[in-house]
Amino acid sequence: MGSAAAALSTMVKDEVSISVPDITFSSIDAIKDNLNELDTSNLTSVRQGFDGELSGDAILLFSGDKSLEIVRMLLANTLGINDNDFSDFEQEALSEIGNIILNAGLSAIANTLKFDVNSSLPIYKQGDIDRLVGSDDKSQTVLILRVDLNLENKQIKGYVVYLMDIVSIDQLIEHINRYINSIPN
Amino acid sequence: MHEALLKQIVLSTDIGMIVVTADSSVVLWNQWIEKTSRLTATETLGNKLTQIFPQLTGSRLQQAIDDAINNGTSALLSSAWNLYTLPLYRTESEDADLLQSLIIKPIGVNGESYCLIEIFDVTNSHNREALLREKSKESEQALEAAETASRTKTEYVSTVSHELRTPLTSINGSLGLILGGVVGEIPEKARGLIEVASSNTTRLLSIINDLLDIEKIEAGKMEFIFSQVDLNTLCSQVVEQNQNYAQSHNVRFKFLPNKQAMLVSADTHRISQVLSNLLSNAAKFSFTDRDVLITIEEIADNYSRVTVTNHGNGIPENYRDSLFDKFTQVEGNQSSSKGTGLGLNICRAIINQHHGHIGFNSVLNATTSFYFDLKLTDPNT
Repeated sequence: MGSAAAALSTMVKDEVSISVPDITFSSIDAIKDNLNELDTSNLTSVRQGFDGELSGDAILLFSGDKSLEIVRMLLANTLGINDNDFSDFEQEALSEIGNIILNAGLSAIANTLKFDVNSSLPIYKQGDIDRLVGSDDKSQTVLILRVDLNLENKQIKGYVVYLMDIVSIDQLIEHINRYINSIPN
Repeated sequence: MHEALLKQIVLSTDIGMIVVTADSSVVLWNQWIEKTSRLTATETLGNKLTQIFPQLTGSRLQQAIDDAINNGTSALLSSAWNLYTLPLYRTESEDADLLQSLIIKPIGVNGESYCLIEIFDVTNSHNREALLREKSKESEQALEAAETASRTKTEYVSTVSHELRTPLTSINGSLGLILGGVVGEIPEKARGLIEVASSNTTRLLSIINDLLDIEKIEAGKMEFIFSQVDLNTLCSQVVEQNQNYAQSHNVRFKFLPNKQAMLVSADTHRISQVLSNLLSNAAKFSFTDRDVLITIEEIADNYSRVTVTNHGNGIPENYRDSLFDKFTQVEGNQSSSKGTGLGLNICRAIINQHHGHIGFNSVLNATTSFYFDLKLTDPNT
């Protein structure tokens, strides 16, 4: 996430740091229990599809009310626009922030595990967890990364959810195991 | 589709298209980007993008191109963050910068990696947005000015009402004392005139009190002191106090108390005000020599209902929806004395503060019933 933080820092002309303190696997059914920092009834999401050796969707989730705060924190440093104008920019600005964070995650997976992955453009959506991360298969496994975004001593918590089919998940786990085994003791 | 046709479409489309190779050399520079950059394809093809635009060195765009080629990621450089990523100009003006949004996508052809950069002119949408924001600000300012003017007017009415009430109370009191014989016997001719003066000062005071009540309600400053009250007792007292008013309209208030205690949590003064208002309306709008009936009953969900029913012309259809709004007055009534049109609005505000409900049922040229519902309380609490 270092490259994402660097890109965001350049954009807002201030230091932005991003950390990933937690990674979990969960079933879609139990996803709410793993997003305990968010109000899952009112979320803002940026979604990007990816395909190649792994295929699925990467979804960045923030609490609906926090997304405005993120834009306010970041855009205020660059444009100096007032509170009433933020909603006009919210969708576009958040899509780009999401794009940077999601690309950083996908690039990290692809580079570390030697995958070829192509990502699509970001799509912004609002709604509850079922609308944003819904699937017919309730037992489907998802990979969840907790993301902490820090700017000006403020911390905004979000999550990146990787929604993949069973073949891709198995392949990912196999590559992770192979990567761990390749690390010299 | 024919390859030449496809190429012509790409070259002449109305969005900017640049394609670069893995080493960032330009292999496609369409006509839109020629026009907006003032650089021809001949001048740019084969050159690296950072040679054409040196300011892109180390930029987000260059990073996004590298990521697209090396990692297969697509990127969005939105106009929210990047207004002038490339030094482009609007076609209709030499020196007007072109506001842009960019999409960067990886493309693979025959095992070779390329990057497609699509550039969108967002100048018009930005200008429209800026105009809308300006209009929105103007509307907010106009609304604020209107609210300030309204507040000033309300404060003015309130101040004038307060200033009028004191001398009027004094005049009304003095007239009452004169009529009561405190200064001795009044000649019969003078009594008639003094009675007219007295009843009109009473009416003026009532109008002023209504105006002051409305101001308090709108400012959220009307105070309520709640206590447990038996509606039988309260209604009986209010009916008794208004019996003279009924006589002056040639009607009679007939109160039928409930056999059970009807305990509610209420502000005695304000609920008396509501009932007095309903009684005076019922008397004013009643056919003469008829009874106005006041009843109390228990209704569903543990609520009590106080109903005031008269026989009269009833409420015309076109007044029914707005009857509880401010300044609504039913025209063509038999009464010569008109009020302010504020009474029922005040009644509704008071009942709302009691979490109750006020309403009416009316049949033209027959009966009209106004009622208010209040929650019954447990006698043991």
